[in-house]
Amino acid sequence: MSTLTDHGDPAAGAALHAAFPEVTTEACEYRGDVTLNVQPAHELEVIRHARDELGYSLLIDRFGADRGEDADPRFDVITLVYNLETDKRLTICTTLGGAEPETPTLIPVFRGADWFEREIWDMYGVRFSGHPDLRRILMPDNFPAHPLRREYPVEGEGDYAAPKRALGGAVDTADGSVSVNYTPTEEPGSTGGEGSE
Amino acid sequence: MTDSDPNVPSDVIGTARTEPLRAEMMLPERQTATGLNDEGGFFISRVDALIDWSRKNSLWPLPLGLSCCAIEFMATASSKFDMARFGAEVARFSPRQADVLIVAGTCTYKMAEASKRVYDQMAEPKWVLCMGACASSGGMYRSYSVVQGIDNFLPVDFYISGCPPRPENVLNALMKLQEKISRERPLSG
Amino acid sequence: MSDARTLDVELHEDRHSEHMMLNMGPQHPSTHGVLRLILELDGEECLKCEPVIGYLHRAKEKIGENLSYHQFIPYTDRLDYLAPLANNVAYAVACEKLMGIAAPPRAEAIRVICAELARISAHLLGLGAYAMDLGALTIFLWTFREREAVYTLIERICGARFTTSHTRIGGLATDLPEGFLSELDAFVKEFPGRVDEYEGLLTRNKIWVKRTQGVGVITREQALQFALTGPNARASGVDYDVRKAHPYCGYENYEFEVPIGSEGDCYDRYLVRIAEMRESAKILRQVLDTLPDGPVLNRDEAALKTVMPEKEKVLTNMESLIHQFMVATESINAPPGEIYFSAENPKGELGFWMRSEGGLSPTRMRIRSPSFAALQVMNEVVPGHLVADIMAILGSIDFVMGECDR
Repeated sequence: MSTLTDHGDPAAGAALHAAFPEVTTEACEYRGDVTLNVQPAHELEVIRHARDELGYSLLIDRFGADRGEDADPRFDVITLVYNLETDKRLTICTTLGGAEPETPTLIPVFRGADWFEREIWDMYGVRFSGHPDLRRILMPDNFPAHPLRREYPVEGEGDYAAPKRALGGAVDTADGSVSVNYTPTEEPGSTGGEGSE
Repeated sequence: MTDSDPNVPSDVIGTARTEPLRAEMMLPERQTATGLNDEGGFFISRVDALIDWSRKNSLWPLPLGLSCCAIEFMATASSKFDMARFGAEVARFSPRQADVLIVAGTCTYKMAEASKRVYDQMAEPKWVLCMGACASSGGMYRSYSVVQGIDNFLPVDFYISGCPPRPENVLNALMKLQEKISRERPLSG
Repeated sequence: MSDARTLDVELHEDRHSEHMMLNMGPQHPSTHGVLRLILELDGEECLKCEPVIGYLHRAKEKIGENLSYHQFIPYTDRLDYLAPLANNVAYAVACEKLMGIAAPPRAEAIRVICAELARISAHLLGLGAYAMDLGALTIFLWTFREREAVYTLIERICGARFTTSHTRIGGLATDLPEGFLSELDAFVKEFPGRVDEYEGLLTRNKIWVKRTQGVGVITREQALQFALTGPNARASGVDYDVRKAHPYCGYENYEFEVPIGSEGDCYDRYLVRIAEMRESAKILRQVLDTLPDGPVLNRDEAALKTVMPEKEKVLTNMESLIHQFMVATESINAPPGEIYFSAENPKGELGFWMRSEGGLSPTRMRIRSPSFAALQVMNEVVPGHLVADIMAILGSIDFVMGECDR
């Protein structure tokens, strides 16, 4: 049976931590994946060091995560890089807080971070300073919110809300009650189809 | 005929030698190219039926291939299921040249404007087939970015259910559309 | 860029000419889905090409945070919808990594069958659409004939031609039906001959070679910078295949080669895909010869609360009844932690990064999409080419919007 737990290199994680002891945490390992936490201002140089000195030259992914409305700092920006010689992967995570979270862009190190960062801006509202063209990528340009934030409902809200429909074609009325658009026949004393209380 | 005519040499059997034959057969002077004379050469129909017949057997689809259903549409158009049997293999991606818009796939809010534009650019007569669950009602995607059914902004003739619908299902809808077209009365209203 | 092609006509540089902005898509036959390209043209030459995506963003990552792990399986079909089984396999193994369980050997071998059939199917369609865009319509009909054969096999496995949802966390939904192995055997015997037919029409065809050789060159450095993986990266010389680097589902037991290109142009990407189809047939042959017996769902202690129990036990054993109820209604509780798992999908490396804080659904489900990265390269590669080359480049990159936009 294959092993899924040897994708990371703890030695490389330790070497990276040793090169930047104040601004990174100890490399932690879970199910074989090695993760390093970095302070936002130093993310660029840590990843550059990993690319140039430790051989992690292939960018795999860069994405955001939300720790929840109550967490502070709230937003993670996680970068996965890969070493083609040793076939090992490294995860570098930086956490941002504040009302308008911002961090420097990774484009000077990996040009492909461009669209990944646009997606993080689109979905989470995290700004990337120095990004040449930070605008929405997946949502329409005039979309009013950052949808992957935890408080945004999956069905959308406002103009983009998926209407509630019950069986038989019922439609929500403004006060949240549900009215059924048919009049039952032979039902004495019913109020008909128009609206419920 | 040529056999019985001693004046026609045997090596010209099969060539069109209508002049002497006509004299032999004592046919009237006026004769149509197909050989039918006037009394037998009528074809009676309503113009409506003719128009409907020609429209329904040459529907040119515009596959608005948005997502996975487009692949099943491509399978319907290929050799095993063969939409060409219905005259509908001419998929024209320009709306000006297409008759039926097949919305195959999930329509998002971002794509809705483009889809409506494509529909508007099509010339009359035009029909819309809504292929798949996502186009019919949003399908399994009840989310902030998916239009919950293209009938919110397009008039749909037939909904094809399935995720994705099997090619037989698509052909069934095409046939139903053909039946619907044959009931139309373009001239008599 | 213009050194890559020999142009017969010298392009005049007219300082007073205006550049034209041309919009291609989102509804366009050659954009393979809803991709929009905004082109800035100087006559026929493209100066700038900006892809606009998001027309198929269906909020899968958000849905993944709201549904349980099992409920998300059908959504993975629709990621790379040309190879649904491959996505299913990737997601199932990712969830198994999170839960800390494994699938039994027979399930792993059948997953390899599924993944390689999906690879063949995706490459066939990629090739067919690519050739059709460049005018070779015959290839489209031929590859779809093969795809119908693959669809028949997939339908035998799981009941659906297309959107399969066949894998489960801990194994597979059902075992292979009787008679399937002989059908697969017949397919594998016949398939290399079909690939020879396609190659016979294209590989040394002067028109094909002229339209694809030297066009759309992606250098190795660009591939690394832009997170390219899969056939696109391998055609540029990046020797990275997840099946060899981090074998999953027993791939280390099978012998196959990984084709690597040298030029990184459209022709190389085409050749890499053709070679991969042949290697997939080889892998299928080896799986057929070595398929182990056994259950297709993990029946160990550790997996009791994750996997649907056997029906006989459910009807006789109280604990199994409780587990069946829990798995069916509430799905599974994952331990807290973050994992990443990626599989070698036909388009590249499809990865799932999941953060679980306990509970029935992940708090973050990230889908790492190979097509997203591949499309980003367009603005680097296209400038300097003619408009007709854009179809060749798009077809050779072989992206799919369902995966790109999620």
